[in-house]
Amino acid sequence: MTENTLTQFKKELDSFFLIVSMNMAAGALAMAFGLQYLVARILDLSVWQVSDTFRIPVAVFFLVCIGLGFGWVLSSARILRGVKSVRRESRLRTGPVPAETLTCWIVRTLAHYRENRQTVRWMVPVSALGGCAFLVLGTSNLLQGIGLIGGGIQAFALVAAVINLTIGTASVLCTLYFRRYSASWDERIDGAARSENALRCALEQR
Amino acid sequence: MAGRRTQYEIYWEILVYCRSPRLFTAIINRCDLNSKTGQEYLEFLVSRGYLALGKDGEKTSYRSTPQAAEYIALFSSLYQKLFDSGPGFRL
Repeated sequence: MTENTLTQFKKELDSFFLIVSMNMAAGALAMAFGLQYLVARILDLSVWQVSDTFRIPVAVFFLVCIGLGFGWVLSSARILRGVKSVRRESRLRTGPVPAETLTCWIVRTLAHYRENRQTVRWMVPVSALGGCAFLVLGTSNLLQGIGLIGGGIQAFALVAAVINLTIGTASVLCTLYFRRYSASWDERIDGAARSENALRCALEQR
Repeated sequence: MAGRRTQYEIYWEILVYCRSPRLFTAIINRCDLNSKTGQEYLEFLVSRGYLALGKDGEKTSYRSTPQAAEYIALFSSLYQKLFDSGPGFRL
């Protein structure tokens, strides 16, 4: 049982590590785009070509982007830190893993999930929202790039479209995977709670 | 071990760590407990016969008894089963 459990445990950790890393990258990019706009405003570079009427709401939107991106990166980093230490230990381990060591990793991961359960749940809508924003931005870049907005093909806008659409798709995928991860670990938390009865009996029978 | 643990996970951790005789401060440091709760956990385990008291110079040490092995084995089997059932998660 230990070998199968270990294999599954490691695969889950690797998958989760990848998702949180992708999510962190998306958050960092959301923050970077917000900063890029604000710096351009400060330096008075009209890279976004936004009319004066919309400057303030657009600046507020990008400030919110920076804040959300910052929170997004911090939350992802906090989640990643707990998973990273267990993952590193499990990867560095060579040879057969004693059942007790595996149980220790499971307990640590469960404890980490319990502590960050709300954050992981929040990642689902935040990731979806971020993903949709990138997809909208990417689509507008694409329309601009192929000349439907502004006229003429613009290579820079096409590059931006590819980047934004990729990040948007990755974020939407992250949402789906976060939901699956959350469902899977919620079930384990419930399973651990159910086994408490057996553990209480074992402890108190003496 | 940090994070939010249940009392049964803490009992398991203490019992595994105390396979060799351990001092109170070492146990609470290792298991990330404060002295008040650490004392409560240890008193419970001693009262149920899962931990035995010993002497390490002037200080009291704690060591898991053979009965603790039953709890440790049951705990390991129940927690590993969490990965055998359920949907699992993979990319």
